[in-house]
Amino acid sequence: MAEELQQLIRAAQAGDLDSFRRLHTQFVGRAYSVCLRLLVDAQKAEDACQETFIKVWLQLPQFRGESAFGTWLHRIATRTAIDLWRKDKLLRLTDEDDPDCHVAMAEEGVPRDLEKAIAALPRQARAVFVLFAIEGYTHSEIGALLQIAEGSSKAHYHRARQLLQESLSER
Amino acid sequence: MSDSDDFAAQSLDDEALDRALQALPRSQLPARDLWPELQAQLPPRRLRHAAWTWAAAAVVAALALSVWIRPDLGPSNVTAPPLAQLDSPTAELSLLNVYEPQKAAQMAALNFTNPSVNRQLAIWDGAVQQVRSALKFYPEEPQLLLQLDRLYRQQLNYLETLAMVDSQVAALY
Repeated sequence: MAEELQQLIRAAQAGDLDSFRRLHTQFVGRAYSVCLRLLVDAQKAEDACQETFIKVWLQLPQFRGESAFGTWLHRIATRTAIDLWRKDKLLRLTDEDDPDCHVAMAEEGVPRDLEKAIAALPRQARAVFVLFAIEGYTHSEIGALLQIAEGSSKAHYHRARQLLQESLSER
Repeated sequence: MSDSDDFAAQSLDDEALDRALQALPRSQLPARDLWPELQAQLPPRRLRHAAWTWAAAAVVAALALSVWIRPDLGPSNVTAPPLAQLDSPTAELSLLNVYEPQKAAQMAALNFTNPSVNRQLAIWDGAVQQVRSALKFYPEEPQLLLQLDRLYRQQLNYLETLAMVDSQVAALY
């Protein structure tokens, strides 16, 4: 399995489009997931996902395998989604109360209430919560990614947890 | 009753929340197949051997040029590492390995006190940095590599002129 993945990566590095398509099939779900949870909008998440894979295609010849391919790709996806998230923040385009936002999260067979509650969090608290509690980033890394202090990241996380507990206990 | 309803029904302490978070899927597929659209957007990529060819040609051209411009800075004085010894033999790195030692040697030989000289050199350094930033995104782009090569050559010519003027002024005193 690992050897097959290495072969796909090497072939894609050499420009083989079919190998890159297979890598896309294998990793698109993971990339889309982090984009969707950060952006809470299916269309924006798709855009971020596409941008992610274009960057991966362009940067693939420089990938030396110091980290796992999935980890490397996931970092690119996270950064791409955060860039879009930051643009949204500046342009104030996201409507937190837009019910359509939540429809995208309501996939069959997942803990819907929790996904909805996360999506309904204030945007900064949501970003911190998703990155820390779901994606496994440290507060120091989150601070650097979101350009906030490490202490602010911790404060947003605790607030998010509190809001989630309150929200889910009410249901 | 679904799993999520079960979850909401229980009192939500920290442990319950952590358990629910663990259960969240780490992977969700988009509603539509994104590949056809993505494929149409992917820029063509040259094969890796094209970069190697370019890198080798750039090194040969730069070395020949350095000998022609200033023989005392040729391979006898400045030895650029062969491609095989480079950790990451990109064309950009090959150019840096050729030009940076030459530039450092010329800078060390000259003692600059004139602010306009330093300003001029800073402008070239800034331009070199901009081209290198662009190369991070398009590491095999020939026009960018050519631009980097030109900038270094201009800077070295300028330093050579300065050295010549410097020696002529020194001869007067």
